Amino acid sequence: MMPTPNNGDRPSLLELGRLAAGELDDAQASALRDRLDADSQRTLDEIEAARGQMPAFDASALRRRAATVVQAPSPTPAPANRAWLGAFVALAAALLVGLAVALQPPATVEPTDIAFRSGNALQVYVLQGRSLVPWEGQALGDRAVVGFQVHATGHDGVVLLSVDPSGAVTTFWPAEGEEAEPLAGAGMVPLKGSVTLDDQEGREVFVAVFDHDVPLAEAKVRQAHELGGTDGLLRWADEAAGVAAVAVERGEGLR
Amino acid sequence: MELTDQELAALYERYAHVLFHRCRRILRNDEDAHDAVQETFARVMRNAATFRQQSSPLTWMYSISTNYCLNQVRNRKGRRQKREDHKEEIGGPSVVQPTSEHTEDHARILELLDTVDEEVRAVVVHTYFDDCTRQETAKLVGLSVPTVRKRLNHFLDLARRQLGAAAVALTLATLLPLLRSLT
Repeated sequence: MMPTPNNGDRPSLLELGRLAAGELDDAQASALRDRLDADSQRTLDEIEAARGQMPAFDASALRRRAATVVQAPSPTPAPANRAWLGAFVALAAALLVGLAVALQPPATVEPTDIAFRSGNALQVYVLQGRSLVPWEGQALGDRAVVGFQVHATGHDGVVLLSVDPSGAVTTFWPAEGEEAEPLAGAGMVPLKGSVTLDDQEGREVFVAVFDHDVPLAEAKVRQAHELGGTDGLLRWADEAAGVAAVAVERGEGLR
Repeated sequence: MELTDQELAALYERYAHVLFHRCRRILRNDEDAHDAVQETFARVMRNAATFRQQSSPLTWMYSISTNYCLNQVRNRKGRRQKREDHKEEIGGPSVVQPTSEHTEDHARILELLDTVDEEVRAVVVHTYFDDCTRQETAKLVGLSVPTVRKRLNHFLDLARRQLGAAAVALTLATLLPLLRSLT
């Protein structure tokens, strides 16, 4: 315990870390060692002892993790003398899209369809009384209790996360650890447990990522949200293999 | 230019345990601290060019691991608070809740950090968890020393308001031992 703010009378943890890592030159290291008190020496010993707790270096695991988040390609500005061509192409594309939309039959999507996006691989249930019943697309309020079913066929495990409108990622299954929640059986299987929602407002997206560990699933989901917001996340879930997502409107609603 | 496996191995040997020790002070959990180390190294790899320019790689690693650690705390809190069991409907084991007073105090301080902006968070973490002087903190976050002092005062004001009666007399000198006891 160090009872007073550090006014330079003792080495900071950063200085001790730099000493332990060999970042200081001989003169700096010697000067710092002269300032070590008992607390600082204990901290240095703890740092050294932590070396024994480190897992073996695994370059390929690190490279996999580093590769899960890629930078969005920076837009390449069109040469100024070709700007008219870009405008023409955009106009033509808009006309084609407009024509295609005009030829479509009237939309018949019901609000409840939203609950079963992503090929039924993730289904949301809400607690009503003492039973979990299929969610029908209504807004879910503070303290609403939700459960989930996922499609287990062909999968060993699932990580179920939510992404709130601010982009905060929360992992619900597994409750702890880095291994995915194990899945057994075939077809739709319930995940044991439930989630009590908070007072979030806006669209919260629940995402099931199959056959990935927690860090990788979180990184992929975070990346998709960073690159495209909630809509981008839903698009990614629709397009990627082994991922399913459901967007839930939060705010005043079912509790 | 990408870091080679040999370079990475050397960096890991030199820095991983130092980072782990520091992240564990914030997260108070070995597993999460290991995860923070892995993520920090992943970010080093993604930003190899910037990393190579650092005169103190550890200082840079400290900075980039700070927000990751605090986000981990937020996620962990979400997992503990939001996930519940309704055995009568679907069964499942109970989720262990933190019980010790220190864990709760630690959580309250970290909760407060979650309500302030990134700059204040960084200032508070470097000052209290890393025991940096104001000069060191200023250098780490790229602010002047008076601005660091202002950000710290902002956080202390917030702590006084949020922690209520228990912290009426809260001052820098009284908050510090509390924070220290949490690490």
